[in-house]
Amino acid sequence: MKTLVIIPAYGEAPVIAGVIEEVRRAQPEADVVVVDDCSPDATGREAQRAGAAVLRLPVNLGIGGAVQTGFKYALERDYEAVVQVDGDGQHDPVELEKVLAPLERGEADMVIGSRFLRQTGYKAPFARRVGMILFSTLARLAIGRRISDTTSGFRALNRRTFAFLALNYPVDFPDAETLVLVNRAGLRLREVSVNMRPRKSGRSSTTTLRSFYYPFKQILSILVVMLREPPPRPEAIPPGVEEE
Amino acid sequence: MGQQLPLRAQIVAVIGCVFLFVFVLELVRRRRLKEEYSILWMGVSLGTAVLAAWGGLLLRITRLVGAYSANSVIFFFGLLFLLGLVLHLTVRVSGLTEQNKNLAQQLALLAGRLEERGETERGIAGQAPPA
Repeated sequence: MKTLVIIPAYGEAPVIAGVIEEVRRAQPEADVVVVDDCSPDATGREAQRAGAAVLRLPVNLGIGGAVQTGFKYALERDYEAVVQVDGDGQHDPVELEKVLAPLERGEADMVIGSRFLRQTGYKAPFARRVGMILFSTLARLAIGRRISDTTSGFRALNRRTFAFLALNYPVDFPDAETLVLVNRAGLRLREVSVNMRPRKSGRSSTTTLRSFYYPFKQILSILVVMLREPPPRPEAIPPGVEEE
Repeated sequence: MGQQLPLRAQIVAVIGCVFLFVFVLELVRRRRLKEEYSILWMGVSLGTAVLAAWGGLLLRITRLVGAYSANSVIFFFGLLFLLGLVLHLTVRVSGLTEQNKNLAQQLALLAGRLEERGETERGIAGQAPPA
């Protein structure tokens, strides 16, 4: 499978080269694109020096907008699968293989690298844990089965799925809502267990002010997705065919 | 109880409306305001002027909607209008945000493509194109 690793990055200049290096080592066949979300530091230059393709957003769009840029990039080129990996080194690229495997076998359209499927030693702060349980419950109600890690940023998608999300993507906080949307579109979700490392740099994209707004936005978004007509199941767009 | 405005208040209100009308016209002339919105504001100033000059109209409306005082009729419809306007503007802002996001993404993709082409053509790392 021709695979693209998408790394959304904001202010990760000190560690981005290391992350790219690790991805290269784990998946020598895959291409790497770093989406620099208008970083104030030299993230883009560092990524370029490390040999990755770099897309520089002229304004800060947030994680969702950056990831979607990667989907659009993959859609323009002939990629058959994409994997989203955080730019801060939290995800161990050795596990890329694990999240890609169900796609390669054709068993799933989107694979989520979950921190909670098994005990993996990851311990979230209390408030965050409450939130995660809340979204899991909501997602379970909306999807009809349990998704243990709705906020994971470690995901693999086949072409059918990223082509769909390149056009419909919730850009603010694209977590649980995306899963509900993908499920509504008739695409198959699958979780695999991954290990999470402590981040090497930067801060969580969730700031204090946002952490108050976030739960409401998530709940509302999931409800709205459920109220809308389900999107038609996306066609498998063969690589090389230009989207209209 | 509904009662007629004193003449002086009527004059002040009409003058205010004329000022608003001229100000909106001037904004359009300087291209600071789109015509579609100017029509709205001109309508508001004209409507208010008519209400101020023709006192009987407001009393009639007050009686029609069954309100107790003409003041509350003015405030009620004024508030309703402002709420509707703000809602409309937030809808517009949402649309603009979406457009802005798509433009930024498209720009990043095109700049990436240009850069790639520059590299293959000249064999050197191309710079992002000037804005």
